[in-house]
Amino acid sequence: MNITIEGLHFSYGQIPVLEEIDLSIQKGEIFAIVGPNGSGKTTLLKNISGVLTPDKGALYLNMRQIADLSTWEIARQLAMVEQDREVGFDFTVREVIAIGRIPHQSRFARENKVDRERIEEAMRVCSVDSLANRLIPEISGGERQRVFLAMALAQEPKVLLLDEPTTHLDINYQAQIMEIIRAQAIDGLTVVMALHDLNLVAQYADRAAMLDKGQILEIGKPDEVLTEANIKRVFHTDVIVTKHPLINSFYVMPLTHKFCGGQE
Amino acid sequence: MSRTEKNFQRQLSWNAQKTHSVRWIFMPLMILLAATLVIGVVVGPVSIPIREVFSYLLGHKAAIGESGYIQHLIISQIRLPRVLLGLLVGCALGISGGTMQGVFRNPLASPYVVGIASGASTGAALVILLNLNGVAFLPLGAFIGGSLAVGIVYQLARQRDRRTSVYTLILAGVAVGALFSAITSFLIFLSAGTDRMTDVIFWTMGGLGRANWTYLCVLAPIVAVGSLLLIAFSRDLNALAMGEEGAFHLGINPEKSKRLMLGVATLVTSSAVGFTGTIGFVGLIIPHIMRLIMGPDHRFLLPATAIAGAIFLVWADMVARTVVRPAELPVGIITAFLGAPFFLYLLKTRKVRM
Repeated sequence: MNITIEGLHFSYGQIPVLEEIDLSIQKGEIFAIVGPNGSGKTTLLKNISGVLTPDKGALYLNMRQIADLSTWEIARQLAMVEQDREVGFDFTVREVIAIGRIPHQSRFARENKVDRERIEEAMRVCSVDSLANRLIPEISGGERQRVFLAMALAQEPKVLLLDEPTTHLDINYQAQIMEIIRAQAIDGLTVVMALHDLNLVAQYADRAAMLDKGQILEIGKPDEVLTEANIKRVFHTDVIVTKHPLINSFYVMPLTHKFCGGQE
Repeated sequence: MSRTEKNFQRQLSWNAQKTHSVRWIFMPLMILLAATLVIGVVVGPVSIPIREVFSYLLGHKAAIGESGYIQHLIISQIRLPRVLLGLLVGCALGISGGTMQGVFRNPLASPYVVGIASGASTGAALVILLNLNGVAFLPLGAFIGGSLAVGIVYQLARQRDRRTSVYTLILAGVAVGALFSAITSFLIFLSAGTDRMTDVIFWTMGGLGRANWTYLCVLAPIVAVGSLLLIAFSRDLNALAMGEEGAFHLGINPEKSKRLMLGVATLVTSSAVGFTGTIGFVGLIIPHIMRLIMGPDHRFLLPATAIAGAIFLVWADMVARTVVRPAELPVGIITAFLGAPFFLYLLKTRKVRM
């Protein structure tokens, strides 16, 4: 499913957060939104998901304006994993993933065969099947993030929005999450995510947009966006961007005072 | 701890939990409910043989003059209405408590804590003092008072980021409850010396003693329709457990469904409480115990709290009318005796997540 954003403006009260955003994201693409804290990444995701309504401009999912879709219609096509989600009550892992089926169930329906298959597939894809009967508060942060991802996949979305899916995760979990997402994108899922970690962007994103104080500074392939000049301008940090010697990707490394030959 | 040890412990806790297999609980609950109905009619100052209870329930007529006739009279005019009222009110309190805990995403919420009881008391006291006759006035007054209290607490407990914090919730509930209790006390003070004063005082203590068929006919449809509505919306509570935005992404309008459920729960609770006076803690402990037994899936939890609440209140009432025979205690005292320590225990031991 394609996402098109035209001339989007959004403000919280008097404070403008997003200005003149134009974007178009293709089916099956992994699209990363990068930028420093407060640059509007989460706000942009919330505008795409319909939680927030833009002041100006339009958003389309496959030519249909999001503002015209009901909450229900949106939920059947779009899933989102917010940052720091907290689950009220001690649900089991499987119960949480089953909640992801709600948009496809009628009010009184019990879990049917299709539901069960989707739930089990999502659990397998995210390798949480062995956790099925564990309680949500008991599992680790990395496991929980995979559970929320499985819940979102059980929702059978065409578009998946992720807000910092790898924050607080160990490096092995980060890679695991990104590999799951990549496999889903190959199967046609459109993924839009806000990411802090520029190296993950370099490695996994098809395209990226860099936000600077609510405006898009640059859109393009990761190597076009994550340039030393752009990063210096937006993050006010000197970095080296180098091609990785082993993998077909590049990496971003901050230059500390020490490396520049200065005193600590 | 080594990795294998950790895995072993995990395995243990997993085995201990099993699945929240849920459906098995309804069969014993239904059996217990039926047994409670019969036992509730049998137990009382005049002992009635179980045979007579069945004979009445099965519609057999007893001839005038026989001892069976008196017994049938006691059953039809006193015991049965009282037990049925207990079932209805317990059901109302249980399911409303379960709903409120879900809406506030907090296991400490209950009709009592969020101020419905105090608000409803004030409304009902006003109705009694103004001497408004008519069976519908009491629940109506209680509903208006109860909604007012819940409305205020709900607005106060919602913060800018739209989460309801447990501390604000309980503090707001206490403050609003105190305010309404003060108004009620003031109303009692104003009515000092009249016989309505005793009415009001009795009402604030809560009891099923005044049960009659008219009450039942008004209350039954409200509780039945309200409970069915809440059960119909129970999966919204599962979605809301993922947070307001989480619920939105599952296709549920969080604000709309919270308001609807809170409104229905308030209606059901305050009309129940309108007839019986405030009966605390049923709405707190019943959902909690059921959640411990069967897990938090509200689609099964809400029906279970309805049945368990009904059973619990009838048993509490049996205790209330037998411990100080031939006098009887207000049932609110019994539920508070059981409930208050339980509430403190929860506060102390359960991690309150919000």
